[in-house]
Amino acid sequence: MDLLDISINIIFPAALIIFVMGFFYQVIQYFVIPGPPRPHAPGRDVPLTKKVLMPFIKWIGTFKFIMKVNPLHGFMAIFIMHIPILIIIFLFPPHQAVIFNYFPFLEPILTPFAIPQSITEAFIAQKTIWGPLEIIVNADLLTLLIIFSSTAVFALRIVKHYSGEFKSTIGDYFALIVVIALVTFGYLAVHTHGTPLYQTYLALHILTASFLIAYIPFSKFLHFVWSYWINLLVLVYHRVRRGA
Amino acid sequence: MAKMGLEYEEKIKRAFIKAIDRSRLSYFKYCMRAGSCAYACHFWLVDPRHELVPGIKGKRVEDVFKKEFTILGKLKKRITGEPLITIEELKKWVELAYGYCSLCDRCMLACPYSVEFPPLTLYMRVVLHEAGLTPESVKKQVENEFTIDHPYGITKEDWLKIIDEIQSKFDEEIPVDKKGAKYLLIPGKRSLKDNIESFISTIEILLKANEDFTLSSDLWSGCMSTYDIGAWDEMAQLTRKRTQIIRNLEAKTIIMTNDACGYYGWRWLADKAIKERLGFGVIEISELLADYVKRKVIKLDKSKNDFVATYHDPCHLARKGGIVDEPRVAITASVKEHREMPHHGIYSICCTAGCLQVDEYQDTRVKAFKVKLDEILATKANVVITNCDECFYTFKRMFDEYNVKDIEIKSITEVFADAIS
Repeated sequence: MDLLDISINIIFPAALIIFVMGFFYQVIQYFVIPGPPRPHAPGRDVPLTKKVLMPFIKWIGTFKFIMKVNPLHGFMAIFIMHIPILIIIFLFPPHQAVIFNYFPFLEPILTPFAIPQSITEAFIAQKTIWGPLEIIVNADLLTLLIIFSSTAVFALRIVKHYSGEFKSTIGDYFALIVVIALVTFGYLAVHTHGTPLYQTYLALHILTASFLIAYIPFSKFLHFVWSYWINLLVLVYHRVRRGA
Repeated sequence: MAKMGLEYEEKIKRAFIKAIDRSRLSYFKYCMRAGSCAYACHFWLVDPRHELVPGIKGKRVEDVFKKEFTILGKLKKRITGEPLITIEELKKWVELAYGYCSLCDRCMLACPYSVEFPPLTLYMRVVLHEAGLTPESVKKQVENEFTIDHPYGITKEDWLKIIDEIQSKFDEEIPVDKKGAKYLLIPGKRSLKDNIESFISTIEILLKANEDFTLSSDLWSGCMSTYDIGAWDEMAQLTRKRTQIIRNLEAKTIIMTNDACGYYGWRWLADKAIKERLGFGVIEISELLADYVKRKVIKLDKSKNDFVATYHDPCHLARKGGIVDEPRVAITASVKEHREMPHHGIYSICCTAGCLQVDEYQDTRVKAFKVKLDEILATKANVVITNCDECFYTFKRMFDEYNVKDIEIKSITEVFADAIS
């Protein structure tokens, strides 16, 4: 059994098990902590539908605010990092194959949105639903954007650290290093396909991904899996309270 | 590094257990230290230092939390023999929680993950209160609440005299201790001391509208700043006592006038503090004013307020209390021109008081007021209107500090009463 076999058949499934267990641990911990969340108020005559939708609308306000006050960091983090990451995870066919293996019901939903691998592929034949957009929405370009933006966010954190404005912790840098390593190994694996290096890069990609998946429930990576959504639900709860 | 005694550690642990809730826990887990919160903080904007970033203030709380409530943290504490917290760190907390935070909640709006940072500063305040390290000027307010029922030292005798004085200004009788009235009017905690006009104008409006209201000889402050000080047990005691007075009067609804913190506390926190339903409604005066405008109960003449006005949204009313549109309805109906500040409504910038005057840290607050002042100057308004006397008082002090002579500050009830034709 070589490194690639071990990564695919042992480490990756183990990481998924740790993820699921860790996720439930966090969910249970959230609900066993006593005390209601802090109140936050809606207007008295706001209709219920608006109250429920308000936290989601609030995010648009937050987004606008970030783009106004901290545009470089905001643009990098939201547009060039998070959105491409989500596209690559769910719409890149090799990743889709792994996801469908565990969640077959997602196949008919996600398959039509699959993205091509390279820009060349996009130029030659626009086969997907994305049409001419394939020139932008393709795995190669998005991967490079993720590497660029993660590095830029890393650099911005260093600049802010030395300017004394804002100091990140080792954990914050580590999270970005894991993302950069994961994406870089994936890119190299795709581009060394058919060469002896392919298996090594793919194994490293799967190992890093496994580490990340197992690390998510115990780190701040959980923000996109749990916290953002649960905080929204907490805000909805606040909004529908009547108060005195 | 001065270590604290075990007794202190126990107190601090108790405070942590008292203050912990899900939203605070969510911070410990999900703050990505993106730094967006910093750009929403008026203290950081004028003094962009790492330790003043709201998320980083929270990190200090997290560090202590981990030492006591996580397995790895406990293990580390045992191996290294580190204290739970040092005296120096607690003193730093006093500075950060009172000198560089007004609990305005604006940072929370800027967080892409909706992490609630202000509760962490409140967390600090709860710990400081438990440890007896709250600044003296703030401690005095809590003491006053217990000894004379008013944070700023207005005694019952003073209150009764004030009622007599106000009565002498009107022909109609001002009802006092009337049972079963529709509304019980509670003065703002700062009104009786520093802005009596705002209270008088409220009474004038209610009389003009033939409203069924009363004053209480036993209740002349609905102050809820004990919550923001972290004195939660005291807050529960005071709320229970005041609730009983209101219930005895059988008032259907209480009106909080020019007291943002009081309104927020009574509407959103009081039932939680006493762990039962209040049994009466809570409204803010601008809600009533907006209703009068909509129902045309009172005729208003805009030309009587011939100036350009801008409205300052008190944080406890707009961001925390949900009162955004009502004051605007009342103001547009009563002044010649109303202009909005660049950031208004729930995005409004705090006046730096946060419903609490902390004498020990006036310098940091004066510095931070620059952000608000720029907002006001951008409107080119002659009058700033607000419906919180704590904001009113802060504006007055700050205008003196910044030598602003050509802008006046008025309360919403004053402007409304002036426009009555």
